[in-house]
Amino acid sequence: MHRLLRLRYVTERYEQLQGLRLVPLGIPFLLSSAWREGLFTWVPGASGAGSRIWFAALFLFAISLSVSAKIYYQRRFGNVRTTAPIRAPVAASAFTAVLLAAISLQDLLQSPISIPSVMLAFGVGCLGVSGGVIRPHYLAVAATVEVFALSGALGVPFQIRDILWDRMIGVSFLVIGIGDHQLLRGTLVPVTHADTV
Amino acid sequence: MPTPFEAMSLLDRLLHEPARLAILTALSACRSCDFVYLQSLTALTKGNLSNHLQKLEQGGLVRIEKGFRGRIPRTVVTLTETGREAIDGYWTRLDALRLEASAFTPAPLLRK
Repeated sequence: MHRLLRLRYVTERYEQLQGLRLVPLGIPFLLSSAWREGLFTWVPGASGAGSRIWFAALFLFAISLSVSAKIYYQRRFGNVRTTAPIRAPVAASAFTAVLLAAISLQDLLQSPISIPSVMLAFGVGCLGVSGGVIRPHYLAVAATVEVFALSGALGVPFQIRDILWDRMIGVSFLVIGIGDHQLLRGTLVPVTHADTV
Repeated sequence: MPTPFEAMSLLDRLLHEPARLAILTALSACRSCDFVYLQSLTALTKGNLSNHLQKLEQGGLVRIEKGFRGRIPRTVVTLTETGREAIDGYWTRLDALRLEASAFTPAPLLRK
């Protein structure tokens, strides 16, 4: 019974659980935090506007790796057409709108507590308990973001918070990606190409 | 009236088989999926999975479409309306049986 519920859960969220698609997206943020610490001063063009170009290029490369990861999942685990294909993009758009509103509110109120981080932690936490299955890696990330939201109130300097933010986002992508991939791998057995029909 | 345990044996055998139940449960959670996904889900061999799908198709519970994606052959499986009703009904019946079984008290044995 438990196994069947798990099959159902994984099938419903097959696209979302393709965690290796998220892992590359964390790398530009980790490199960005290292850059903010001054570890990449020797890299040509890594200062001023050049740093943004570097970040954009790295992010585009990460997206291309993410697409490759999607192809890997299609070949090894197959394809699923979900019942509500527009639900995820609609939810993501709505959450982005809420996040942008939180950023505006933060600018307006000048609160020492980071309102966008609180909203982000809430969103990640909700994902971690959706569908009646608890995904501890999401809750761990949500708790970390929540602590980060308080860093301003705790007196952490702005420059350090910038470094911490990038590092936290980078690590979060890795933790969520690997955690989701493990969940998927614990349920599905990869199929070798010769076996496919 | 049959006991819950007797009623259990009356469950539809087409559905009440672990691999086919897993296939139908997965299909009830999506619009459709391909053969590779069902194979990775059930860990069955290609031949075994084909047999189970054939039985389900013959029972009118799933629809199988064979095609190509580029040059790679691709088999897509969809739950039919009958199949959806059957799997929903199966779970309802199984839940009811579970409740009946937990409340079941056997009739006292006759003593000589």
